[in-house]
Amino acid sequence: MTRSHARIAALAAIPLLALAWLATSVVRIRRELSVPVSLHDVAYAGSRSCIGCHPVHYRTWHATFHRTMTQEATEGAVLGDFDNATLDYEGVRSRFLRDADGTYAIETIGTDGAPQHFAIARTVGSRRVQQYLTKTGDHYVRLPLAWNVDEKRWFHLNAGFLDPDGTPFHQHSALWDANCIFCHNVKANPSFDRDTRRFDSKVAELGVACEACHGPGARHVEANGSPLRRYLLHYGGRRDPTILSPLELPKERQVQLCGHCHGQRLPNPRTRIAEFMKSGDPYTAGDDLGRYTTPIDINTKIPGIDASLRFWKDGTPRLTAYEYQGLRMSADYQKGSLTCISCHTAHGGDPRGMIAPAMRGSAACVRCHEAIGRNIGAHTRHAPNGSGSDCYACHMPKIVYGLLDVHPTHRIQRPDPSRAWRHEMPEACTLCHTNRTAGWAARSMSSRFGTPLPVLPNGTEFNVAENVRQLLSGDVVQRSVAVMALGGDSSYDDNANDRLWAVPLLLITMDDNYASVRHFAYRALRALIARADPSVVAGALSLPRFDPQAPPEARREVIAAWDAWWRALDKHRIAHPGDAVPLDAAFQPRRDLIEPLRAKQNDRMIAIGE
Amino acid sequence: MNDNARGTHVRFGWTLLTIAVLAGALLESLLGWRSSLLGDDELRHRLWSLAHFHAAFLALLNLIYPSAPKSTKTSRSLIAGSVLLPLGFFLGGLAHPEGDPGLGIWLAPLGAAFLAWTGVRRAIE
Repeated sequence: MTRSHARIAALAAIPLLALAWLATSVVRIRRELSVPVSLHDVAYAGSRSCIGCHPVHYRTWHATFHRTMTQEATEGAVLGDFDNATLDYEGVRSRFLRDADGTYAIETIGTDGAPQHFAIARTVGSRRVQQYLTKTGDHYVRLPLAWNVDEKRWFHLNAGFLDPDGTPFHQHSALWDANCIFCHNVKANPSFDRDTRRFDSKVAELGVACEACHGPGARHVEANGSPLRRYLLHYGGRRDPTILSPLELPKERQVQLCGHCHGQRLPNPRTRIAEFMKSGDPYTAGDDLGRYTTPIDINTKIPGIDASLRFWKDGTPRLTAYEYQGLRMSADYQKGSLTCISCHTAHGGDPRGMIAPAMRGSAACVRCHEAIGRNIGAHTRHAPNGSGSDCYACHMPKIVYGLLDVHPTHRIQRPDPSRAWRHEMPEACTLCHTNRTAGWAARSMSSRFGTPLPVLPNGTEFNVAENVRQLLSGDVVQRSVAVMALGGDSSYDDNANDRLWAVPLLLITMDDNYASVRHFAYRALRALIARADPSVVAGALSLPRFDPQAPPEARREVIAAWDAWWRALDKHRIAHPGDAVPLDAAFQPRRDLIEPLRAKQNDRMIAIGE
Repeated sequence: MNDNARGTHVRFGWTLLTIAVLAGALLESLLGWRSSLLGDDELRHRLWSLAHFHAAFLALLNLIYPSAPKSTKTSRSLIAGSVLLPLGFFLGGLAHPEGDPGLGIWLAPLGAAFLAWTGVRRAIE
């Protein structure tokens, strides 16, 4: 062999060797990809390890409130006003400040009633409400004072958790390590030692991060260090068994993934709680949630708590964190293919609600219900562009209470006005037609849709507009839902001025014995005023601000100022809502009709369980 | 190096430099106008910047290459590397899966191999 032949052979050997390496690597990787991986045996890697390969997914998740669900109390995380702000509640003045070393702190009374200084260690939440944790020995305690993010003010949690006035100051001081930890973080483990009664809590990551939904990722990160493997996955049409894609799960497992946190559950069997506390939550993304827990429903018995009050009498959840239960009761899930991620996304949706842009409003529904979408007016018997043709208004009405807000139900149902008297629950029709009775809604529905007219309710109370009836005589959730409907976006009446008839009823509700209801009433009042013609509501903007947690005398002073303004207001540009609303011709409350209804108010204690 | 080969490198060098300058101007325009073609895609931005930079650098190398003595044997590998390396970066950024360049990026290491070969040969000649 000549020198030139040898050189050619050597040169040819290099690409041949490279090809041989490539071929054997491809065969090895393809074999690896066909072997299932048990994610239970894999370590958690943390969300930062995802950025390199999934920058867009990381960025879109990073913008969500899932990420900031639990955070260390750092400068960027804390939203509350800690610049020596104060809050007076039930005779206690609490102070929010920063210590000399910059630590955030709250000075308030301890459980013994004595003044105490609490250093803030962590925050919980960042969308509507931010709560604060202090560390005491081995465990974290949630303090009962929280920051209202939208309204930028401090409030006591008794207003957020449906509690009447007079509820103990520390009713909602909760042990984070045994409660919040499970849903507000990735793979929580309280590591509770029953003998020493001590916690050694650990989480894979604070907040709800990538691995909460995609499973532990250490093996995925390690395996995909190889570019060859990545390109085989990108272009080879294969799925990677080292990580979970929720989109590839069957529908039941998909909703369980969200239901793990958005569906309150109990360990199954109950005695398993000791295992949860000692070894942590056994659920890993993709598992059958039913192996470990049972969702709470209307029939669930919890010692010392009436869990049925968390549901409307037809079994529909009336509190948030039960969306899983609601969806599972919906025909679209049971008979169709609807899951949480049909509408919601952790990547690219509006962080508030996490709904994919293409799924906002009725667009989400008409993707499947195409025929309805083509002629929506024929389906709704309402103006196609009005709020009566908004799918949500009728099929997912806002009847669910959650921290300082009322949300759409996730039990998707047809409207049925008879639910008002059969189940004592708010109903879609009268949440918009707030000046109409349930009987009117039933008759309208029957005549418009040709459905049989149900047996109408007896009793004079049903001669009152249904929303007003529930506002005056319902329990705290009914009152919350009703009052928010009076100020809500969906209404039978496009004329914002005409909706002002609700003002005197809102002023009555601002004297409710639940701070949460008072809060909603003032919110609804401000919403009505903001929408009305400024010339009609002249003078309203200079009225005093209402604090739903102020002492009763201070609150009544503000209500009196608003009442005086209403009495003096020229109402000739406001249409009377009709006979079903207990207002006289001068738009003053008819006490003869209102007081008997208020006497029926039901103040059963509803334990939210958050 | 004969005049033909010298002429080839000079023509190629000026052509590549023109393309690099125009591509650079286009990149600046896309940035200036906050085009979503670049603004939403950091990886594409990085890869096209690399394509622009390498094309400009290799164009200049081609322009000075004929002035070096005994440069005939590595002439073709320099031109091949000068085409493949920036082209690989450009195609890698054109359409790509999340987190990785598109398949065209595999031309870049091939181009780098040609350039490395050129460098080694020039060093030992």
